[in-house]
Amino acid sequence: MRLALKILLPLVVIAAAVRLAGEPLAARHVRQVTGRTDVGATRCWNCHGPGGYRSYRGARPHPSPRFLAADPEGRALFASIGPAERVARVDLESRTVRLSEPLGATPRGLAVSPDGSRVAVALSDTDQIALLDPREMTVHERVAVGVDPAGVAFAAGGRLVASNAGSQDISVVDLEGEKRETRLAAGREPYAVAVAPDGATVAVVSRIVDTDLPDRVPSSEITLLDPVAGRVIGRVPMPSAHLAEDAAFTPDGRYLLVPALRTRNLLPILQVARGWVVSSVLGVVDLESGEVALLPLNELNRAFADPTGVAVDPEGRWVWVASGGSNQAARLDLPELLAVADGLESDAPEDFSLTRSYLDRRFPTATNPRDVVAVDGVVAVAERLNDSVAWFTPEGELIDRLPVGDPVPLDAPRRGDVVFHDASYAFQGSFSCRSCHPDGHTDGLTYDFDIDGVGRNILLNRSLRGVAGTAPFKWVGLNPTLQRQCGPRFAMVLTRADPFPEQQLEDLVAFLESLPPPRPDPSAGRVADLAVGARQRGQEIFERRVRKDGSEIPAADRCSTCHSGPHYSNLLKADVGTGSPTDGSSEFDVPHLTGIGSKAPYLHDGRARTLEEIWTLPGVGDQHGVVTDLNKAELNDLVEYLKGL
Amino acid sequence: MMTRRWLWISLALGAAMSLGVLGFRAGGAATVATQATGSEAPSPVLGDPWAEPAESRRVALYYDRFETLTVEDGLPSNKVTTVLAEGDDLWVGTDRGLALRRGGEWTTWSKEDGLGHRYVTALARHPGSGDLWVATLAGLSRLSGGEIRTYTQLDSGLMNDVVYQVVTDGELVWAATAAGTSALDPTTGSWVLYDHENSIMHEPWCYSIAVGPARTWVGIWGGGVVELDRTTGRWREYRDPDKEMEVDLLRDDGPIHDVTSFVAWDAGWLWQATYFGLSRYDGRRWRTFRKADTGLPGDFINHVAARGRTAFLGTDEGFGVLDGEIAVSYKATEGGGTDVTVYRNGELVESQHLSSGPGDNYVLWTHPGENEVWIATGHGLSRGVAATGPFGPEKNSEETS
Repeated sequence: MRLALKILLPLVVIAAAVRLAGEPLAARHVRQVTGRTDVGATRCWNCHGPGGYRSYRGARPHPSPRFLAADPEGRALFASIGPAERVARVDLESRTVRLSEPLGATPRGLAVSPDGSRVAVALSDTDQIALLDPREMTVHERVAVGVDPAGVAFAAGGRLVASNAGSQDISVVDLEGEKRETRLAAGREPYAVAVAPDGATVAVVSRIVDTDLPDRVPSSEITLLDPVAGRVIGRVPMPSAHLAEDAAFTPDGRYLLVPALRTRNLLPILQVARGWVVSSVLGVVDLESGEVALLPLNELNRAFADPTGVAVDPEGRWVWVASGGSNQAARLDLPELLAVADGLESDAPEDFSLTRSYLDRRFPTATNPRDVVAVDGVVAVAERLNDSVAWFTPEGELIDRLPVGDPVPLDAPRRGDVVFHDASYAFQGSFSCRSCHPDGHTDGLTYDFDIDGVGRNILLNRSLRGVAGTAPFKWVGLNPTLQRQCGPRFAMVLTRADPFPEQQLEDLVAFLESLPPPRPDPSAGRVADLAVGARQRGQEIFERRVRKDGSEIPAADRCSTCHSGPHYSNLLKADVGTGSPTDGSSEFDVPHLTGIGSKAPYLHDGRARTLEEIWTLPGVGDQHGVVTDLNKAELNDLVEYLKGL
Repeated sequence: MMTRRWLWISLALGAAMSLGVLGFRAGGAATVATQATGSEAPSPVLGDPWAEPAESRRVALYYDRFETLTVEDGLPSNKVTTVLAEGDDLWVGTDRGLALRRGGEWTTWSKEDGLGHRYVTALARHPGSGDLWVATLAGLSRLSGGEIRTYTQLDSGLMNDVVYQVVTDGELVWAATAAGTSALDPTTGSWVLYDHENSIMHEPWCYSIAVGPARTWVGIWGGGVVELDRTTGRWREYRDPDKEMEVDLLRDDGPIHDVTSFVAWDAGWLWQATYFGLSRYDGRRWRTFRKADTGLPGDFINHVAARGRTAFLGTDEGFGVLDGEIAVSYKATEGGGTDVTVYRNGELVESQHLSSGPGDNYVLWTHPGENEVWIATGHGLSRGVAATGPFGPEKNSEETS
């Protein structure tokens, strides 16, 4: 007891001293080191904290079935259960579930070979496609592809096609030959892979809009390719549409159906109350004409939020779409849908009354249905946040529902995950947190958030990945906690509905703090067979204290002064000369740099489309770190270093 | 006493943590450095660039029929700067945009379509992705799936927007720019740059690039030729030994001049085009060629293309073909038609007059094919067909080694 007191007492005294005097002392230290005069209080760990401090907490490995594929004969379903790093096989006849051997990585998209002998699974952490024996559920081969594959499909000529969301390209692997990989450039974050009925055309749908200037209408890309030749044969832009996670061809191969969100981020956010900012659509791509029609999925006063999975009836009669935010699936009349699409211009104003002409019915699912497949008279749905796979009649009558994976006790982050994906907290249930933050990341768009006049304070949507321990929040650093960030003002400005109830808000914050930072670009600085050492040189530039001519760089102008600590942010505000007349302040929160390579565009208003443009836009000078003495090669080195953080 | 000791220990620990001496930040930095070193190991040797090829390639030296495409046929401009023939597809770069002739129909792209600049300087097909890379005077453009994306010095790692040439080595896309050389790895999105500050080149005005097994050569305006051994990262420089700007004091002593306008490599030979003649390097010796002593159409050489051990030349005085021993020169005449001269080891052995010829004597690019050659001129794009008439087919059946 006495020993414990001897240990604890000094610690308590130190803690109290740090609490009372630490922040002013730390601020004084910062003022001395950086020369800044505007820092009133800060904490030692803002700059010197260990990597684990207030870092993300992770989440328990709930099964969370996200992607689904069906055996060609319709006897079994395969679901990727990501956090558990396994694939589940659901036998529809015996109504049993069998798990694969551990995959050692997070499985995402799946595909079953046309002869049913192999199941391909995209492994996002190890940048591979695993080929499983569907009976034994064991891996018999792994094929290297690009970074963070999300989708995979078997195509004609024995080709395996993978969409590499991390490296923003597509791998085409000749499985029957020498396993040679062809790499094709895609849009931003290529996600779903769909194969035409004849196998000769493959469509890869990109989830994030291509990076462009913030005042342009955003557009995401559908990449069409010839898998046998290994060549891109077309790039179809989907204007105003993004967050597409699935796609399906019609049986005649003429149309590609892509559920997506139609986001008009250039409108003031107050238009949420008119349903004009985020709505759900089904993109209909006519592959003969190249025309794209965006058909609404929302009804008047009844939204169908976050549509993700899509499946087409092999007979060409029906289309099923899963709504992750509304916990429903919808059956659409395909001929009626195509008839409406045929007369619809791609930039036509959205008319929710159209939906009735092709919406046959909606039917309920469990929480967060994300993928849907239709096979042999059955419509199956992956219910991610219910840890289950359910299958229905084509009319939406539930046949059965089976839990997949080992059950994990419900905890706050899991409950917060449900809140995050639940659209019922927004105006008319039209969008969820996920509608702007897919997988907790960013949609790469700028928004006119605040109710302060049209066109003022245009701000880039920031990633929530790795957000734990990076307070304050918002670009202007107004919110000291995530609870405040997501609290009543958030509801008043953005969701235009009642704020999150207190418990749900706490759960939501627990979920946000469980999100890991984006993965660093593993290929940063790598240039084929050339030994370039770019990242190491870039780190030296990032940490340098003197210019190339030997003169000292003032502490306030060094990269590593503001971008310090475990998150590469001192968690303060800084004026780096990027304020504009439409901004309320010229000081902005120093953004954390973990995973910065995947967060384009950059700066508070998204004006820098690439990392290079942070320093090459007109009038930047040395206000955002001293860079004017760097040559182009050195600036490249700095960029490669940043991409690897 | 004991309490005071614990107090000091606690204070020391607290101070150490706040100052970071326990290594929290240092640990992070060390991890980055280790990754950087481990991920950038050089690749294995890719081959000997100076080895004589086991098989010779049949190359036609004699062409007796020419036809010329102009704006009247669909070209965006009569000033043709580069050409790439791929089967039935004909890609043409001009000073007013890029054009493709496919199935008799022309499609054109210019700045309004996303091309970096209307002036196209070079074209290269990436064999892996099939994307077409387009060098322009304001950026490097990629044409893929019908869409163009342009990389510039401000939004990417490209060294400079003035891109004189683009080539691929099967993996990387190399661009010669007015401020150095850039190489883009399309699969990683990373660039590597070389200029006078981080390589042997004494000035950065890069005009041309050639790639061969394990080597990349850069032709530099005023800097001769520099060679990068991609397996070791070592550089080597080839400069004009006599350093005379106007004359070649000693033949075959090295590059004929430091002002390099183009470089090309094939079959173990490196060719250097200059505005004062032509040089060839076989890994051991240099050999120089001039109009006066070899029979080249001119010494002001805009472009050299290597096919097997034969060089195709675009000069300001006409089009020429040289296999080291035989030089064939094609010069348009004022009255129409073309004067053709054949030199063997510097001796005139034959001359002919053809009724057709290249569109203009100002030749900016040549693209030799199996039995034809495309010639980009100041007045249209010409196609020469391998001879079956005046020179007889027997001469073109000779194989060059």
